[in-house]
Amino acid sequence: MHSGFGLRVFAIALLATLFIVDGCRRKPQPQVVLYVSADEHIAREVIARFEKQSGISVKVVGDTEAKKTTGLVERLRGEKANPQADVFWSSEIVQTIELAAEGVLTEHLSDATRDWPREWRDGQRRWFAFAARPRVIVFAPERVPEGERPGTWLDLARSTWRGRIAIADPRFGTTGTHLGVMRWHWDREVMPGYFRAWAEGLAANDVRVLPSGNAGVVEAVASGEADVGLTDADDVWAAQARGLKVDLIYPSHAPLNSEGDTPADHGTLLIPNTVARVTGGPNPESARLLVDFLLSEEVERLLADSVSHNVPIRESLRGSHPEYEAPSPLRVEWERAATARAGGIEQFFEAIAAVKQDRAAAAEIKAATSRRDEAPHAR
Amino acid sequence: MTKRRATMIADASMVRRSLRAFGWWPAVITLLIWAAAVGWPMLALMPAVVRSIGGGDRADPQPSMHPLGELLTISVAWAAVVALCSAVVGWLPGRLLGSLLTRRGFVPVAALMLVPLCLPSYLVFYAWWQSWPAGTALHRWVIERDGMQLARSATLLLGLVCWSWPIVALCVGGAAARRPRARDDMLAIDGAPLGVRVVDRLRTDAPGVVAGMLIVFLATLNNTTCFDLAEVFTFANELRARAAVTPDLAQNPAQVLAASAPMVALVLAGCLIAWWMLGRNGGHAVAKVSTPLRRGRTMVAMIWLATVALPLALLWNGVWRFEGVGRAVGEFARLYSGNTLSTLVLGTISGALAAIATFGLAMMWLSERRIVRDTASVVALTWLVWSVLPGTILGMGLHAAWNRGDVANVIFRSPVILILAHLSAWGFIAPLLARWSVRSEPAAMRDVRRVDGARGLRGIWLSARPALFSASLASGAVVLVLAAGEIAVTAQVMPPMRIDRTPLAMSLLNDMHYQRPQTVLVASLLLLTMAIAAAVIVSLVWRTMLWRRIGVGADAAATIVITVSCFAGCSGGSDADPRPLNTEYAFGSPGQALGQFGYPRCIDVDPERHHVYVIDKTARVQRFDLDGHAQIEWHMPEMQQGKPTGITVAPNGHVFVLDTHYFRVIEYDADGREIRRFGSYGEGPGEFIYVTDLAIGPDGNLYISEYGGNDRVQVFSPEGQYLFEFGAFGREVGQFSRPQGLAFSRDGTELFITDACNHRVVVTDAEGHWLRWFGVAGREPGQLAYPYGLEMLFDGTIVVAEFGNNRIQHFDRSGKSLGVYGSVGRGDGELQYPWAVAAADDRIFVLDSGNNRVQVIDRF
Repeated sequence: MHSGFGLRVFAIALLATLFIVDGCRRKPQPQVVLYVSADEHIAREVIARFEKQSGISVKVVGDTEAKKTTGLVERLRGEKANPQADVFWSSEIVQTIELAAEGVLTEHLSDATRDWPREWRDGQRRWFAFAARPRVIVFAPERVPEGERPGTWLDLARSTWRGRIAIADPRFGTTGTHLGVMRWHWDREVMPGYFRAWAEGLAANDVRVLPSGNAGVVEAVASGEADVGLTDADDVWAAQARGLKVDLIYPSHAPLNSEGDTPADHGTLLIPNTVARVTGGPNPESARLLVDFLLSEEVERLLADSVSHNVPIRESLRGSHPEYEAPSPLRVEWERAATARAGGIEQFFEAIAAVKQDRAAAAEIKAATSRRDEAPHAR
Repeated sequence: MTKRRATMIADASMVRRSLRAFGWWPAVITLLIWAAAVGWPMLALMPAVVRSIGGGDRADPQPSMHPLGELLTISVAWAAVVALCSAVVGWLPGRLLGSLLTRRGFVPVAALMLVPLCLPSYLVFYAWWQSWPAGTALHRWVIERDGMQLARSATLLLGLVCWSWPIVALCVGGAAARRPRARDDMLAIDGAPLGVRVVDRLRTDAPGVVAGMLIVFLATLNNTTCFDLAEVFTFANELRARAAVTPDLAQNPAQVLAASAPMVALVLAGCLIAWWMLGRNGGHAVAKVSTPLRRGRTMVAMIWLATVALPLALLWNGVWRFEGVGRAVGEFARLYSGNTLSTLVLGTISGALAAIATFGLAMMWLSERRIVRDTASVVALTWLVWSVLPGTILGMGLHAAWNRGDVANVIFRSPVILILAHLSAWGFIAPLLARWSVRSEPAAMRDVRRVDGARGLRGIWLSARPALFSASLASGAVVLVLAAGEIAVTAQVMPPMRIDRTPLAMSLLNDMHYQRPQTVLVASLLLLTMAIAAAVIVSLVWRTMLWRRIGVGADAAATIVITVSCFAGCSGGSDADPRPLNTEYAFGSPGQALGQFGYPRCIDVDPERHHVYVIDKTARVQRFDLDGHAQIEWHMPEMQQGKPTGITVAPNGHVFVLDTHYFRVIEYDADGREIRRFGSYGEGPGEFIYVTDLAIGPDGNLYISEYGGNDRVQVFSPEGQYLFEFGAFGREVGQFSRPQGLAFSRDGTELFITDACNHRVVVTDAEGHWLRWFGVAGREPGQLAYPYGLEMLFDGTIVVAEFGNNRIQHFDRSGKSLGVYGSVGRGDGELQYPWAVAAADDRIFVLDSGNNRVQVIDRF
């Protein structure tokens, strides 16, 4: 009797395993595999609409906020020889460009993307950008009064912000992209080494690097751990929706002009979502349909209407949400900026290390001087 | 025999063998599970490990915010502080648990303590952090003093301690349960000050406290999510970051492995120490009925309310104010009902596999074959080590093993990889509970199963089923709950899934980061319900397993298992055909009148005065003449706690009664007048726990044996002055497990001791130096089962009463069996549980306890 029971348990376990494996292998309907680093809530809505319209089942791989896009990018790199994904929907752009350059992404030609603006797509049509998020400075209105608020990114290097700034770990997500763009822009437009000097200014201000991402920066400002932070606008909107007392500034990447306005094309950085087809993906036909859908006006409007309030890049939707428009967006040559990302992150960390080193050396000199002064003057 | 018939017989034999082998399917499946979740990933990482020994074969791809050495220091400091605080908080609740083991109320208290453990630790921290009084005067005060970072770190510490103190409490509970009540009573009687009592308690509880701290230390060291949420860089987080930015990680994990080396070394050392402590604490010491902890209950209740109930209540209050529970539940159901179901299904499968693994490993450990037991140990230890490695390494291992462009990919692309992730991260619960279950089995139970040949799945299933089933159930429940909250490994190996089927924990973390506490709150309610269910199951199981150790003594266990084994029809018994006793005459019958017995347990003879003394469970000492005629009787002064189990007649005719359950020896004259008494409860020199027998040495010294966790022989001068002692509890050389009978050789140079629960006879010299031993558990001649009584015959040979084998056995002085006599039964020459044997002149008196009589033989 007991053996019978044991056999039953064994049989059930075996059947369950077979069921899972079999269920995973069966393809009852066309499907597409999407790697997505956008907010899961938004992705759910978009995917639900696509499935309803196309009848194609979408399987996704997301990532946690801390590693966000970087985790998926490395996964795509690792799977290059054995691709698992069909479509990559990234919430940022630079790492998509890197993947395209490495051959992980493939060309996408379709009627829907034929007239896509050149500044928002790859020259070889391996990626397309849409629905951007402004990079902003989040601040606590209670602790940063009207006259003190930074108007440009350069202001953050001033000593008045010492001990008051937070930034996400730049190795992940849009923060790294932003550093890359700053390095490309300033070193080209102002003078070589300007970015490094700014990074050293930030480091001298004891900028606090947080491991948990841009939302963590907003929370740090809201909770009083920092007064200002470098983050994405959508994280600020989400915090405001929760009732947190934070606000944002669209800073300029150049000094303000005599009227106190942002010079044209030097304003806020808009980091778009990007979508691309993966080279050798298992479901190429479904992938084409999904890419076209993600680049549709419907999706861009959905993202603009969502809690993220993404800024549409297509002409037809420009001005549809004026309250979320960023002034004088920075003009970026994305392929060139992408090459500056790794160096930007490296220089940022080097600046922090250098400041630490300088302080340690200064402390040592001070200690030595003080020992010398205290020593009895023996002859 | 025709060739065809021979072939048929051979085939049938093969089928039988196959069927018998099939009986081991839980063990086989366990090995498969281990291979898939641990063995193969470990092996697949080996080439990278070899490369990493050289420091990795690539340069560091990204600079880092903090040097690794600095991060390791930070991580170790955090882990140490959390472990220390958990020990401080968890000690008192642990003592309460220990004191409740033998009382009502254990299950609910243990379940309440287990609840936070079954929740993901990040949820507990999140609950606290969400409860931070933002916008209040306190908040402003902290900000003005630039103390928010400190406040968040303090909240992190609070959250981690709230999650981990029950680990210490559980470990302390096990240790505290072994502390006898009498010890506290004695300290109270002596008027020991509070400090002395606390130190004394700490001495008992120290192994539990240290083991608990070690586990908390390792768990904190590996925690990434909590530190992420609290914005604290740690070593484990940095490893994860490095893994995320390492190009082509699946093919080239050497660099990350090289970076992780110090932490791996730390974890490895911690694991080995924990394993050693687990084995040490899980020994066969008998749990005691411990002191009730009355005054601490309020304190424990306050600890629980403050650390578990309060944050959850605050969290719910927050959501109530923010959006309303109804709306939050509605949104959760709309978004995550599919994810919840999918998570539960996957968690249930992981739990079921963990349950099978628990059963399979326990079976392997209970096997008679050393290679099987050793295999189980290797499987368990590697599983434990693997599980406590950083989640990043586990993910890399699973990638290396299963992310291949071949058949393995079928697994990597399917949710099966998530089950393997769960078993990688939390599967160590299975070997832990299996080991606990096996080690909590009374040694008597195991020995008797061995004696009766109850081998294979059927035998083990029938004899050890209740505990194994319970342990498996607990293992399954815990792994289910923990799998539901697992993130570290899941995030790295998640296969493509429909978005409404992805693991709930991933969505939960996403919502935490995107600042949507309302859905997190609903999920916390769901997980809380599961946690309570799992905690109740585990508590019930724990009680079941520990009760076995408390309530079942060796003899009772033996009786139960003998009965079970015989009922089950397991291949029992010896092939040898024991001869019946050549009984000359017998005396005694059931009853309480003079000359009758109520389960007699000790006997001795005064050959010079021709007296036979017998004590039974009515606590009467009866004196007979050598022909069995009852002469007189007297009662022991007290008998409520228990009755004597040993009696020895001195050369002067005085009778020493070993008053076992009163921890003393009483000396009477031949007519029952008390001469003196000595001994009191304790484990110190001259103190006793359960005294069993007394032998008088060649120089008149008194050798007194005892058991009860302090199994030893103490030697006293004829006047009762403590001289020295030897032996300790255990199964090794120099150790005893219930030394039940003592007898000196005729020349007084050798002392023979029946080491009952080790199924052997030990020989020492008069100074207690171990000379040799003979006998192993079994039914064959030369083997023994619970040898209780022992007598030296005039010819220098030895006769031993075997309680477990229902016989007596005759040995020469070297330990060679000269014959076995008697078999189980009620007839002439048959025996039922013989406790003791005595000899005078040419007669041997066999105390046939189960038949309430003494059988006398004059030759074998």
